[in-house]
Amino acid sequence: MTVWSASRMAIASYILFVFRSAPYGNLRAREGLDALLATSVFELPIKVLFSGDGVFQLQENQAPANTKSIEKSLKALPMYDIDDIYIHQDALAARQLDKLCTSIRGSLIDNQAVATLMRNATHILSF
Amino acid sequence: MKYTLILQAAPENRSLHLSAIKFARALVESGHTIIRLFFYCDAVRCANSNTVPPQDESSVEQQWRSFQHEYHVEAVVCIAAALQRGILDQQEADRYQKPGVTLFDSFQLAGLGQLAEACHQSDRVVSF
Repeated sequence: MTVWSASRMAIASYILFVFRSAPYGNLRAREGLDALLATSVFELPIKVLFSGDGVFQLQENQAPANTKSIEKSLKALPMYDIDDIYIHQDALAARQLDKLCTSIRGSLIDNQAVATLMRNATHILSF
Repeated sequence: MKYTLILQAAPENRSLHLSAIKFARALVESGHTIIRLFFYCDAVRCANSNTVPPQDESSVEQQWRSFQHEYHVEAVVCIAAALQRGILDQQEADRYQKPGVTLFDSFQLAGLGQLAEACHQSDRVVSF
């Protein structure tokens, strides 16, 4: 995974979804994903950022009892043409997940790039 | 300017919802338009018509209802999130054969498409 600098963020209008909740403890992560998928139907440019506890959603080999795996749903995002996925590097480091093994394709970005990503968004929806 | 307000927090978070209502009121009184109030996640329970607050407290649910009534703002509640939390209108109660209608009649159940559409039409989207 490459680290992107702030200057490489394209400046265009888009809706940014920020996922900052860990999965399974409540419905936040699942409902955030549902909102993302519903919005993707409208052909508006969308970018997705995993930050805070949201990086836990990316862990591979999830096997939750009694509910659908969010990892499985996230792997399907490219099928909805959702390819602009970013992962907040500091959030991984803070949770000692630097060596995160994930099957979800995303670009690692630093704090400055996160700020730019947010600043350039038309709307930010946070879950 | 055109605004969409998204409510996500549970109604037990009183200070947050009271701030949201104050903000919404200020928006309308300053001449802005609120395209839609969209209740999602735990905030769907703000549409619960059956809550009984302690006698010395006013309910968040009632305050949203009063705001919506006073300013005629469209209040949409995400149907999937609502069903899961037991917030049903007559139609859904009949459909699923549930004993109670729990949705304020001036609030509407609708899908997430309404959220996406509102964002598309708005200059600003503010979440609480």
